[in-house]
Amino acid sequence: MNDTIDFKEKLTNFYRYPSICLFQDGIKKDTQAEYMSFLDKPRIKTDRQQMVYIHIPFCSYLCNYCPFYKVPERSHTAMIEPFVKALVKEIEMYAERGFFKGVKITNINWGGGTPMLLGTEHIITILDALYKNLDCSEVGVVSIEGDAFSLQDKDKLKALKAHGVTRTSMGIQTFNERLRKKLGVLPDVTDVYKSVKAIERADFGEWGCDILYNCPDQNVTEIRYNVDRIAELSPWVIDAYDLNISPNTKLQKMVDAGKFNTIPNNISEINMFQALMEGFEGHGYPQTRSVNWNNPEHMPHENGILNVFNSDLISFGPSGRTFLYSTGKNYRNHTNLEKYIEDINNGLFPLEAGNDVTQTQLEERDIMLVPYFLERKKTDINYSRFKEKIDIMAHNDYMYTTDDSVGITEKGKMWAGNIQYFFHSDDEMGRMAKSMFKSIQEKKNLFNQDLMNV
Amino acid sequence: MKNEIIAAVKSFVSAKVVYNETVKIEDNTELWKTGLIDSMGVIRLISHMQEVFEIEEFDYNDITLDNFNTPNSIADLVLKYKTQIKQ
Repeated sequence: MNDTIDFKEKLTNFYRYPSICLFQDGIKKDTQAEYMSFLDKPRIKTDRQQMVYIHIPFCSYLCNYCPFYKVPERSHTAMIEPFVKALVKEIEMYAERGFFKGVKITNINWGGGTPMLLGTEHIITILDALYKNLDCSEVGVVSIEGDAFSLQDKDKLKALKAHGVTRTSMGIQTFNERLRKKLGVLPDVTDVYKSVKAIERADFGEWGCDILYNCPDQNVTEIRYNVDRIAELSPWVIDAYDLNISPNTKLQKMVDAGKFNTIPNNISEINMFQALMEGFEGHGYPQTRSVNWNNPEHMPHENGILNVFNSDLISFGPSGRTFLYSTGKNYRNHTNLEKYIEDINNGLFPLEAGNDVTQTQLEERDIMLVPYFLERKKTDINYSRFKEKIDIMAHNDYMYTTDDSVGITEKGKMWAGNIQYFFHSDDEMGRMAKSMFKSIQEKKNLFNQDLMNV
Repeated sequence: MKNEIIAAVKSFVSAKVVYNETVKIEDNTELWKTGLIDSMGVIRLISHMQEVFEIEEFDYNDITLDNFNTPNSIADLVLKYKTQIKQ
């Protein structure tokens, strides 16, 4: 075999496949009824779990690297009440249809934005709407994200725990105070420790944290320092995300204006990720997903959120992304709070863009999950279809096969995103390039084709 | 002219996308399908081609895998724009 492949530039992992692009997949109001008609039929019997995601778009400050949809809480206080009402109505609109009848929800995950910023009564109102309208009798995990300000309220955490919330996660990002300020992360490191203490005092048990690597002004020494500090805190799971400086964004403008001393490159990114892998392994945290390390006493469980990409996922709230293996539906809600509320108040699903996923694309999505999960059974993928490409990856020591499994090697763990990209179809590669090109042309954020941090 | 464009593509991809100037790129090497270049790399390449060959902006509909798959196909596309400008 002569197919020598030597990855040089580390790609971000892919968590969504196929992509959704506003320019290519826009859903108009007059076609949405037909698109959503799948809701009239019961969900087909499937082994896939049914998870729920709730997107809360409010933040008390806006980090300048974050591409996700959010609005400043201070200037949108008056919209919180109408938003909560709209979100409850959205849940009811889904529950009224046949699709979810008898479907057991396995996991509820709150993201944003900063969900913990919502008042306790609002969070409980939304939880009650879920509990009342969907079958949550077998929910294993209810997870809510917060930042180092919003997680300091022990009484709030206790109240949420009493109402079924089982897990929380905190965006720690970095322990470098100067970098935190440059990235717009307002809480300082002391606040991180205060939050961890509150989580412990509330006897919350399961908690995770996010950290960043590949930031400007970041180096391997800082990564090692961050890993050591996090290991001291003993979270159950750690997510490590690479920061990307996208065209048009505020961060790109800061870089262009010389606000940072060092800019990451392909070599420094590789070195930082290597330091993460070695650091967490050194602290006894095995790598459990392409970007996750688990406390050995708390390995990923069956309906934990680390299985979300392998499950049916229905999302509520602005920018929420739904992916349903069972019907091949792949869509997202408006990345605009006003439009989101308006559509729901008019009895419409607040859809912005979406597509129908073919069986062929579902198989491609499943092969994307091999690098993410590190290993999958051959029976979880269409092995014969992808054998040729798997063999090329194996020939280059990025993947391996056994009698019944396919996985990525130690070398492959560095290149999980590249391996995923290698399995993208020609059509998807073209769609992604078109989406990026148009986003840059229209001065939009690449992620949701909106104005986040642009 | 075409050879000049092909050389520019090869040079940019090896130096600025795969960071390895010894990597062997032929005129018909499939840049995407072999994993040499990803969507963001294509965008960087497009931007570079626009600048070097003074193309105001590629048309959105021309951003396809077929047009950007090999140095040869990219050169054909650039030439199409150069010809349009002359006309």
